[in-house]
Amino acid sequence: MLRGYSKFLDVLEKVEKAILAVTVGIMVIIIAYQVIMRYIFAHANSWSEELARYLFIYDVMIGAAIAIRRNSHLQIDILINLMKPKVRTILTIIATLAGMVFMVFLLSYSITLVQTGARTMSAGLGIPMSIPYSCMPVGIVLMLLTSIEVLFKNISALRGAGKEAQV
Amino acid sequence: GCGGGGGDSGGDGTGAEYTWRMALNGSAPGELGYDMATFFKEKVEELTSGRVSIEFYGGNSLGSTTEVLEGMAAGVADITCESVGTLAPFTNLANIDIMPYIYNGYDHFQAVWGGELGQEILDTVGNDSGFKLMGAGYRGARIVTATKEMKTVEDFAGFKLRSPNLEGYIKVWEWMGSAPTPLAMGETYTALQQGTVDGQENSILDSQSYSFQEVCPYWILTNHVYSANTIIMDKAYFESLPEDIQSALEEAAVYAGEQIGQEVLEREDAAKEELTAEGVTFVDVDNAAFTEHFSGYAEANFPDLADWCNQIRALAPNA
Amino acid sequence: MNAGLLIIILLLGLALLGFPIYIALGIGALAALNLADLPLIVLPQRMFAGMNGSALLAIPFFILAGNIMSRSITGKLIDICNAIIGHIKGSLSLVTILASALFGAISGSGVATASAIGGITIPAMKREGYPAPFAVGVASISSILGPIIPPSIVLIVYASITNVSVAELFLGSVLPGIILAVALIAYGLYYGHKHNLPAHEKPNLRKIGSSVRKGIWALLMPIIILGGIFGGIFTPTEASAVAVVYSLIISLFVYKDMSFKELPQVFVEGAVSTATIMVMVGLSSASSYVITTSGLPQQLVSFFSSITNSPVVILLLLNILFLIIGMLMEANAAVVMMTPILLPLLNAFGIDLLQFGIVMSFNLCIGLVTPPVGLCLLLCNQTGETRLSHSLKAMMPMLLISIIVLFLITYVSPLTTLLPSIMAG
Ligand code: NA
Ligand code: NA
Repeated sequence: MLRGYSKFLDVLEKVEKAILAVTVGIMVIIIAYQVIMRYIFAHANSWSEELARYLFIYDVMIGAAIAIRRNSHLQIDILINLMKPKVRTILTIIATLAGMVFMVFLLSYSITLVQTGARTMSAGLGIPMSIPYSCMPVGIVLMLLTSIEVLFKNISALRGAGKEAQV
Repeated sequence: GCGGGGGDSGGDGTGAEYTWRMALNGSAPGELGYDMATFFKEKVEELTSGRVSIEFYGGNSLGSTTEVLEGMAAGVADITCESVGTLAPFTNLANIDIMPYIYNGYDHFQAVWGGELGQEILDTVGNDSGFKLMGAGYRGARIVTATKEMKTVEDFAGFKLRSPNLEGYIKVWEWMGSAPTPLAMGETYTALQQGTVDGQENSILDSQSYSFQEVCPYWILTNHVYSANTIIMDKAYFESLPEDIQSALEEAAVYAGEQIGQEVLEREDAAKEELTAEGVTFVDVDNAAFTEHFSGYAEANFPDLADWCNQIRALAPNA
Repeated sequence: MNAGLLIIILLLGLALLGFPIYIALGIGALAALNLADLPLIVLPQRMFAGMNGSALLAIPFFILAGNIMSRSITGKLIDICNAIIGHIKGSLSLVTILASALFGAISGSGVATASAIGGITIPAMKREGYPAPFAVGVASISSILGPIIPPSIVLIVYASITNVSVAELFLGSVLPGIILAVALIAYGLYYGHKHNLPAHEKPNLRKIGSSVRKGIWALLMPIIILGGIFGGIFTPTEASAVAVVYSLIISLFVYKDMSFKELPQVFVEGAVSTATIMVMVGLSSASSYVITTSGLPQQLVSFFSSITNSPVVILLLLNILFLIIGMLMEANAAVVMMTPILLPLLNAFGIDLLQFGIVMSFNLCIGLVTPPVGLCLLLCNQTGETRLSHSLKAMMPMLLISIIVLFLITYVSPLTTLLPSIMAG
């Protein structure tokens, strides 16, 4: 079960990474284009910086999901490093569950935000704000999917008595 | 939405039936939105004999203007005082607030906003965007502060100028033949010093509050835009209020708009004296020539606003 | 209970229990919004808004530029420094400091500096018979020059929360960075002579010339980035994008130590490390909404006002607080958590936000080498394979020097404000 789910997440992560690689490249090109237009052609536009910003926030939400899988979100681990592996695993499970509760709330209100954004236009691109806001529910769903894996990996580690969780 | 906010609480010790969070840009007296809001707050509390209590949250502490407006239906804030133009993300008509060269002075501004046309604009913008707009406060005409002396439309060709990152402002300066550079306000002073830009545009009072006189010796009285501050609430919530409260709010907003207008005139005179003493040169320009230059602007860029612009121009006191 | 207080207790409590900081921030904000009966839409709205600042775009770009350049230029920077100061006793430790400072003018992060420079110079110092703990100590402390000398990611995060100009913060931290580098070099000279550490042959102009020629593209980069920002040519965000383009051209076409095939991987890694900072930045914006509406900052102000009315004392207390926080937390996380709480206090005591930002960032960068959580110290320690207590002891004099410089820039304000104000004409 868990192995199949992890394989699914592997595939998903490949797609996410492809999106990140392409959009980061686009962000660099957009800002470089903006510099060239401004200093060589003395022409400003209101869309380029905004487009780069919205791509950036999308990337942050996707990158945050990948970081959950890699366990690379910032944390203070001095106290838990002093604890027994089993206690540490239990705390990880609780933290993951708490994160998921938070994400479920965040998800439901993100959907409201996307709906609210339908009546607002962005200042530069003139697109409905729903489009950039959609990074919130999309990213949170991805974060929830990866959190589920972390949760079950830790639970099964807890079952494998005495063995330390390998996340 | 979630039903017009969490404003109606009675148990906060003020004894008020309605306690509202008012979101403000400025954080202290002296900022025009803040001062207009103060006139409004005092009048509302007086007219409702304390049934309404308003708490200020300055310095964008409840969120940026757009966030506050967007979240108003959910109760992020209950009320705010902002320029009509800040509603542009919600309705194109709000751009009427930043149309260049449609007024010829303060009296013209008052003739529009103190009369039927102004009310019609407030109502239409409000209906299109889902807000209740009340009262109109003069903010002082926008001028250009520059590192070099500028006089004619031609002088502005190729002029590098900081503008807000809003299509409406950028178009004004492109029409002028200038090179508008969208920059955050916080970066503008440094940009002027370093010569990244040669000027910026704002009202005299705002320009003074950012100390642009230290980097811009020439203040060009272009008077290109006359924008209005207004009191904004969620429309559905406003309509759910008892009628006596509604009319008290409207009366207080109109009063606040009139009071702030007088204050701005006095403060601008005082500011001009101070700034001249600090070495600023105020440059008068031929406003008729600039107005002429912008005659086809609305038709070309904001066709659906052209008719409104003409109605505003028609109310010019000496026309 | 006050909602602002609840958020702070949850935040600190959960963070200490090892919850990822972004979850601690999120749970804290969620609970406090509920308690204060505030609309929950604030959560996603403020999170988005907190991440939606143009200055923040510079973070992934500076990370990328640093990652791309570190492959090609690290060795070349070290060669240049070696050619110039190799004849001095203990030269390799001085090379470590100087190369870290130069690398710092390209990269915005301490960990990147520690792995790029320390990764090469620690083994080299050990080979030449330097005491291993000293080698680790000097590389660790030098790595904090990475985020102190601009560009600096910590300062960008601070700027996004306070609206202080990124360009001015960068400019203001030039002198503190130089002072620290000079002070460390002075100690390195003293230590080299005292312990009679080895020197290399006399400098020879041809060697200097050839190493500079090989490294010229690397040396040009800080000039382009910082010259561009301070000269008013680019905004910091534009400069960061130019830095990426420049470093790509150099790595792909000039030094040819990177292939197009590697690009996607480099971009992805940059995006993921940025994401871990940015989710915290976004959520701190949500918690600052609750903290503001709770009235807690005003209570904090009146509490501190009852103790003292002197900014000197407040700055002392805050510096001690940050040194403690820096032991436990990563610098960006600390800035994100503390700045919204402290802003009203700083304003009430008339403390200059520009100077404070530089002091706070400098202080928290020292935290990169203080145990138990000192990423740079741990990293260098791994490279040098020494006992932590030994390298900590060897580093202690240099750590004290850093803290003295910290108090110098805290109380001699021209050190941070002079350059920005000269720019201001
Ligand atoms: Na740096
Ligand atoms: Na530390």
